Formats: sequence, structure tokens, C-alpha cells
Amino acid sequence: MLFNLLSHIRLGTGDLAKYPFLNEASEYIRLINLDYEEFDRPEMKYIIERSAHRLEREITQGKPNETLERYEIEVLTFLVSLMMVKCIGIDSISKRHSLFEALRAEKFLTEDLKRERNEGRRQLLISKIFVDLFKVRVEINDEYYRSFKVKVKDYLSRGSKFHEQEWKLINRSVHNGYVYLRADETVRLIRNELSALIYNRLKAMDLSAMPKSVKLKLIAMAPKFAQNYDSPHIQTISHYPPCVKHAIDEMSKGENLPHSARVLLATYMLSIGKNINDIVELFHSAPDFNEGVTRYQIEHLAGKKGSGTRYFVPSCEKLTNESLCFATRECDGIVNPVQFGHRSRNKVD
Amino acid sequence: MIDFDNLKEASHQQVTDGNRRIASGSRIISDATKSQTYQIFRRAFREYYFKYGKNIESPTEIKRREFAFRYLGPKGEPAGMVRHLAFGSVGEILATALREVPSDLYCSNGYYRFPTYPMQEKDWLGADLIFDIDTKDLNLPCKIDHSYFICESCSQVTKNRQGLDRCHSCNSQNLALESIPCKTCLDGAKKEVRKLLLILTEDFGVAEKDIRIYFSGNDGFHLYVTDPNLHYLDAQARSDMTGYILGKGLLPETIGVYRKIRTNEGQKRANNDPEGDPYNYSARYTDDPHIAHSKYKERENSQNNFLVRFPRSGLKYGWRKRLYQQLGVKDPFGSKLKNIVQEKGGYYSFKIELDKLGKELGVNIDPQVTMDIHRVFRMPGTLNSKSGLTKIKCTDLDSFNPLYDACLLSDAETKVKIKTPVKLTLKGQTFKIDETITSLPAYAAIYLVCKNLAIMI
Repeated sequence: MLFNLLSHIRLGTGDLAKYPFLNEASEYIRLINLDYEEFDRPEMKYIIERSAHRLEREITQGKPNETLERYEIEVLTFLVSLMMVKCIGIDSISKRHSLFEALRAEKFLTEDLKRERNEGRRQLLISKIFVDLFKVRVEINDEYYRSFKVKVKDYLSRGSKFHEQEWKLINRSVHNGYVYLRADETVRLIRNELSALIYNRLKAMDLSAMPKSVKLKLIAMAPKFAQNYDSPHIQTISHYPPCVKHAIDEMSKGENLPHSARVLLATYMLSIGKNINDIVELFHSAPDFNEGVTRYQIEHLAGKKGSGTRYFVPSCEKLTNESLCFATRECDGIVNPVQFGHRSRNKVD
Repeated sequence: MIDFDNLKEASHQQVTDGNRRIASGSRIISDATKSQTYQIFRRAFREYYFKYGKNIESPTEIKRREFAFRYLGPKGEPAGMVRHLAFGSVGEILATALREVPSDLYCSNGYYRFPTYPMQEKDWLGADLIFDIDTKDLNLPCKIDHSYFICESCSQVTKNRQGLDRCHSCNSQNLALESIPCKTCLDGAKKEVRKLLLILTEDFGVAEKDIRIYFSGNDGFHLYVTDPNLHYLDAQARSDMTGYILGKGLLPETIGVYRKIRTNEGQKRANNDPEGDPYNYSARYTDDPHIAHSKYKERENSQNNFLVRFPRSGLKYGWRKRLYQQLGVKDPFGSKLKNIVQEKGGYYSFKIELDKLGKELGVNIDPQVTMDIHRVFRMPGTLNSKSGLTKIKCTDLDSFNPLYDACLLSDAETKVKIKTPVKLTLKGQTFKIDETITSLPAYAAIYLVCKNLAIMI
């Protein structure tokens, strides 16, 4: 009912800048009749430079771009970045870019839900993003207007895929069919779907020709990508247990592995004596790869940083609980993936 | 008087789906191999379906369900299961039940586009949300008084004794545990049902009209949630839901107890005090084992440091409310919660305490049953071959007496040879059987034979 009443409230241009994946932003592109030749005009140089910088930052530093300019610039930067990623044609870059665009929007949306004083606009954002795009009915908590509630079924179908204990339903406030969430948690709930939405847009993009200026920029950037993506392909070695193999395969495909799967991969590699540099290399294809952070975290797991505790490989039981176990018959009788490694190696010897 | 054994076979129209035969072929065993038990069971079960066939409940969207039958083996024992069957109406199911007299009839919780295809090709469309509460999982103290070990090699029955690991007669380790649930057990199960009802209605907002309670026909209850909004939850989502109901995985942070990560030493360092050592460098790089050990101990103690803070999404609902009530804490701002955590020994010790509390306040459901979205469940209104009792709808939990209301087999006199002295109450009658050979009403005789505590003669 309320959502129908909102139809007369229009989104502001500032919203298009923050959320350029909205249908209204596509409508804007259609209205300005942008064709390929337009991209070669000098005014577009800034947009192309900006898009290239955004991609470079994502690929080399593993950081999303959170700057915000006028909506004309933001919508076009979003579009040109997508064109560039499509043109590069590397799936892991597409996934990484989709995730970073989602993270960028997540930051703005959290702020908007938290700070926006115009109730109508807040409702409209919820309606445009949560309801229209992802069919999640988010309601404002009547008792505390800065928090939100979603239906248990909507929460479970998303939150149960997160591996952190705090996302388990039992650690949430649940009442009368609703799960109560803070603004950042509400937005986090749709991060993966938003990333998938952008990724699917990328997949569906039809690039028959490429503007010359964009092409030239890409050629100039090519060596930087090659540095990051021409590294030797990670080999899945047959004596790795299936859970580790699965994590490596997913990682090399550029999938955004959950934290627990990354812990498994790193602790397993440490346990079989791989050096930290090699392990850091393994995480190279992660969409949010940041060498400094990855190195610190691996060193932390190895007991060289932080509390000095060395973390051991999680048990098979724990992995099963976290849906990371892909047991085969060879796993019979083992309680920790490390045993699989030993057994297989012994067999080979 | 109807001769049920020679009842003219009910007309049964085969249901077909393309070229695939769905429910067909009689599984009746040839005369030569029929045992006395087989014949008595078959007669009693057929009589039940003839009299109480109307009790069989039609599942919603019947054409999208997978059905399964289990048949009686030559000795009257339940034999193999036939799955991937489909029926168009409950009448067809009843006709098959009367014709073939299966020992058990099952229906899937799942809805499929092609219910008769192999599992990977069925095309899952959704599944009812079902919870299973079993008396045997409650581990009540009375359990030992009415459970028996049955040797699967020599059929010797031994009254349950703690620590029994092999048969006294043949030394076999193949022992099965059978139990005759008593009133205490069933009341215990009812208590769990009430707890579950409260969580489903208060926390998950399920309307009472969307919850159906059934006695499973043996020693527990099944709760069906018919709210279609919950039918599309996948196994992972259902697993998260079962965790909530079981009270598993509670974090102290949920009720406002946070781990204090920064130690006093860290604080010193944060305040630019050079003596501070938050990463315990000195402990790791010292050569003196005594210093290293004391630093290690210090670090271990620091793991238990905590602080109490009001959780931002409140404490009024669900588990937060239950835990606060149980701990007797009125508000997190007072010192009571802090004192409790302190008494327990700090963050980690409190976490262990919280696990215990979760188990105590949670509902003892079988998580595997709820998580399985491709399972077949006994159909309401059909017999359970583990007891001869009926899986029956329970409209008023308080007055419902499973050992009376679900006991619908005939009371024709039947002779049995019991394997061990036994006491049971069925249909309001208490049987205390000490003699080896005795005559009992069919429902009691079949109950004991199903439980492997007697044989037909």
C-alpha cells in the first residue's frame, strides 16, 4: 500500500550517482541518446580516465572507489567501466568489478538508510532497491526508526549463506515473523545479489564495437592487468583434499570465497609447509584481493602476527557445518583435511 | 462378518505418466512363503484400511508429491521400500492400500514437477516444513525402565542395562534398542511440542491455523507448518532455522556480553605508553621459558576479559528475551549481568554456560528431518509398522492420549509367545504379561510383535 503511494515521489539525481545500476539510470542513458561516437569527444576523456582509474584501483589495490561526483559523471563512469570490463573479457575481473560496485553502493545505501531525514525518500530507496530489484520487503522498525525488519523467510534465504556465527538466526532479534536488523546489516544482506545483478548486466552487454578512445585507454592499461593476471595458473594438485580443491577451484574462477573457506585454504597450505609468498599468490584471483591485507592475515594464521597463536586447519565437522565439505570416498575415516593429505601422500610414496 | 483376507481386490487403476508406469504390480508374497505373522498382520492392516480408510489425509498438491510404500516381508517384518510413486487422489492410494496392504505408506514433504523421476531429475518446487520430536531423543530417566536390547543374531531380548555391549546368549554385538514409550515419555514429548509451538508462533509469526500436530504412530510427534511462505526455504536455510529452535550457536554478544580484545597492556600502548605490549612481542621473543609461560598465562586470562554493552537491535524478543528471563536479568545496564559473567569466569566460560542454557531452553527436535527437503514422511491416517499404531492428527494436545487415540487395530483375540516379561498400556487397558504364551487383543499382540518383543503363534 505504502509502496504504491510512493510512486509519485521521484528519485533525486544524487541517487542516480550513488546507485547507477537502477533502472532510472539506464533510462537516463537512453534519454541522452548516447552513441559510440560521443565517447571519442574530448569531454569524455575525464570519464574514461576515471573509469580506468577505478578499475586499476580495484585490480591492483583491491579497494572499491567511493568518491562521488555529479550524477552525469557517475552514471557514465559506471557505464564506461562496465564496457571496459566486458572488453577485457576476464571472468575474474568481471566478478571483482561487480563485487566492488556492490560494495560502493552498499556504503552509500547504508549511510542513506541511517542518516536520511526525509522519510519518503528513505521509503523510496527501500522500494526501488530492495523491493523492485530483489523482492525483499524491508520495513522500518516502528519502535526505533533507524533500524529495520525483514521477514524471517527473506532473512533465512540470504543470511544462512553467510558463514559468520553472528549471522546465524539464533544471534538475531526475531519476533512475530520478522528479523530486526541495523541499516548496515540490512544492506549487507543483499550484497551478493547486487553483485550478481551487476555481473549479469555485464554478461548481457552486447559490445559489437568499442569506442576508439576506450580501446586506446585499455591498450595503455594492458601491461598492468597482465602483471596481475598472467601469473601461472594455480594447479589443483590431486593429493589435496576435496574441500581444499574446491576452494582453490572457486578462487581461481574469481569467486568471492567466504572467510571460513579462505581460512581453510590458508591453514591447509601452511600445514603442508607452503611458504607465505606462495599462499598469498593463491589468493590473487580473489575479487577483493589486497596483497597487504592477505599477507597480514596469512601471517596471523601462521602465528607470526597478532596474538602469536598458530591456527590449525578446521576439522571436517566444522567444515561440514559451514557447508565447505565436499567429501569423497577417500575422505572416509578422517576427521581433519590434513589427514587426507598425509594418507594420499603416503599412498603415492 | 467380513473375511478381510479374501476381500475382493479393490479396483486399482494404474496411474500413468507418459510411458512410465507409476504405481503398479502387486507385491503380495506367494502362499508358500507366507508366515503366520505375515497373515495376521495383513488381515489386521487390511481391516484397518477398510474401516478407517477415510482417516488417510490427502496431502496438498497431491499430484506433485512422491509416494513410497514399504511392504511386509515373508515373516511379517517390514521389507524393502518402493519409492518414486505418484497418485492422483487419496482414493487411489486407499485402493492400493486395500489391494496390496503395504506395511507403511509415505508421502514426500517435497513438491516436484516430475515426482516419479529419479531424484536428480524430479525438479524440486518446494517442501513442507516438518519438525520431528522423538521421545528417544529426550533421554528421560524413565527410558531405562522400558527399553530392551534385542539381539539381531539370536533374537534374545535383554532388559536395558547400562553398559550392555553384547548379547548374553550368543555374544553378538549386533544389538537393537527397542522402547515402549510410557506416559512420562509422551508427556515429555508434548512439552517439547508446546515449546516448539511457542517459538513458531511468537518468533516466526506462523499462524496457529497453519500448524498441524500429528502423533507419529510410534514414539513422537510430527509438526507440519503449512504456511506456503516457508515452503521455498532450501536445506541451508532450514538448517539455520533448526539451529535457532535447538538453541545451538548462541554468542554472548547476542545478549550484550562482548569480548574485550584490548588488554590493559594494549591500553598502555594505545596511550603511547612504551611499556604496553598488545601483541605480546616480549612473550614470543623471550628466551626465558618462565617469562614466556607467565606471559602466556596472562594472555590466556585476557581471553576471558569482557564488557557489557546494550545490543543495538534490542533485547525484547526471541532468544534474547528468553535468556534474560532465565538469567533473571532485567536490564543490561544494571550490574547483574556483569556479575553473572564474572562469576562464571569471564567471556569464554560464560559462552560455555550459554551453550548449556541454549540446550536447556531449546526444543529437542531432530535437525536432520527438518533439513531434508527430499524426505518421505509417513502419511497421516496410515499405520506405523513399528507399532501398529496410527499416525493421527492431534487436535487437542492436552487431552490427546496417543496410546489410546492412535490405537485403532481390532481387538480380535490373538495368540503370541512373548520373549520377555513386559508391561504395557494400550486403549486404556494395562497388560502385565509374565507368561510365555498368552492371548491378547490384536492391537496389543501386533504392538509387541512390531517391537520384536513377541512372535505370533
